[in-house]
Amino acid sequence: MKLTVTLPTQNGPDMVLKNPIMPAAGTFGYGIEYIDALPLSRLGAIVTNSFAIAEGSPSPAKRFYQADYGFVSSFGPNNMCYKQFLKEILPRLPHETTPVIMDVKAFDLNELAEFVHILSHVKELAAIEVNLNCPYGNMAIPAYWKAPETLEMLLKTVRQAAGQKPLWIKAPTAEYPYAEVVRAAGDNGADAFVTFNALGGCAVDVATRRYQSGSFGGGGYSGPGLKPYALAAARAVAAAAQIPTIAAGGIVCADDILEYILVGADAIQVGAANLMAPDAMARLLDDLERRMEELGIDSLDEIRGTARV
Amino acid sequence: MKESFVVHSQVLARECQTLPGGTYAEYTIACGNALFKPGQYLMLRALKHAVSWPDAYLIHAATGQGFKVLAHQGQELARCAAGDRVEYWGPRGSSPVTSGDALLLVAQPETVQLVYPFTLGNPHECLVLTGEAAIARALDKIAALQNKKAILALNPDTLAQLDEAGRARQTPFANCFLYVSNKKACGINACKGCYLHSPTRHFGINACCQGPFMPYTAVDVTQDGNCFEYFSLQEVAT
Repeated sequence: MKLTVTLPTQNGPDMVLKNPIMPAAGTFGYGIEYIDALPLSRLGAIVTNSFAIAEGSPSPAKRFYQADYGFVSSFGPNNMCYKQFLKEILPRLPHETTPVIMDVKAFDLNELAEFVHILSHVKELAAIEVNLNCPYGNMAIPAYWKAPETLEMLLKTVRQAAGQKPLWIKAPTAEYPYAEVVRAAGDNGADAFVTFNALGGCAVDVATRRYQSGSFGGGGYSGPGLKPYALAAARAVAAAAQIPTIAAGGIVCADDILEYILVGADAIQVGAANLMAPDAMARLLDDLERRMEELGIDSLDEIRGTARV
Repeated sequence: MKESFVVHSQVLARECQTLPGGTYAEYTIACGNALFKPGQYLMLRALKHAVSWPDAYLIHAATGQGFKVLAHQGQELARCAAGDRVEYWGPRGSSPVTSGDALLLVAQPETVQLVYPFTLGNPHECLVLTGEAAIARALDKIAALQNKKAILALNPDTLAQLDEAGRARQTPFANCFLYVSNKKACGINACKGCYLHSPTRHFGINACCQGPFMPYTAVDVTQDGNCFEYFSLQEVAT
């Protein structure tokens, strides 16, 4: 059975993953927290929590609410100092056998470019994942992805800043012009595109009449309840993409992974399931192997994009 | 062979436990070698539904059969019966006490279950806050702690009142430990959802592993009080 995934890059050698399973940023800490829960080297890749160039502090609001079929999160900018990560944590991750990808965010484009440039020199990193949900914290600046010209400016800038380092672009939200954004990413040098990000959501405690999470009474809603929507997004992105696509959205079982591969995804990111059980991705990998055997699938390549009406 | 981090287990027994805050469901969770210290908890997930989230359950006893925990009606476990499958990881967190420590337990009816684990092994006095003079009475006791430790578990509004009154009276809060009720989504310092602000660490301090009972003086109640959970009076189905 062949679980490997080959991701061609625009500037260098292919990135080869042992299997299609990796965590989604924001749901797997910095990887090292899970070292007792599952063998990190079994994963296809490791994607870290999002980093900004400056160390963040905890949000003053509730950050997490577990709703039916998903969760509403609003973690704010509480990233650890990236220098601490590079010095103390990255060397302990299995970066020689499992690609490690740092997810990054910034408060403006200059800061983003500076940060990407710094990280481009870190040889232990296999790629940098830029979250199009930038810039954080400055409502006066329109989201870069909303206008084609500002999106192109962002993509060109970070591509240049990244040098030869593979660059992944992560969807800004759940709702965006799929084809336009992924084509712009590919046309401007991105090496892969992550198809989904959280949908806006909120919840209210009827007893206290307070919002359950978020500084502004809400946050990002993620989880299995979104999967059909996220799957449609992954299908639309894969159909338009000229670069590999990494799908995400509500994956909790092997059939979820196969569905994403069938609509064209190259690999997948697991989010909510990591917060259901810390060994979720190891179980998913076991289940995927078992399910592929049951279904007579020898390789993910043979089924990729073959879903039909 | 290394023991699995996530332990697949089951509910051995479900009974009812009545405390000043009402009736809770008391569960025995199967474990062959159950050891814990008061203040530690299990991250436990009931497996009744395909999508279910783990929650933190303070351990109050360990028997030859397993851990004993209380569940309140808002928690998934409270709907489980003997024989139901669960999985857990833990014990997680650290204990603020050592065997033999004399304790002052300060709670209100809604939060008594949070100090309950400290009532079963240590000499203790339990102060359940009710009425207008309760805050002043609690501060008097805290000021007179001497060699005792105080364990506090309060709803956010009561905690804010106590904190404000304590600062006005310059109560030192030495040897006081506060239950930090920030949502613990993972219990392994991964989700970063339970972090507290810290004057010395910009990134903050983790409550799920370093706590959940943290030195009172390490908690900035004004900054982090909004993140704390509210607990209500209970009447779980028998």
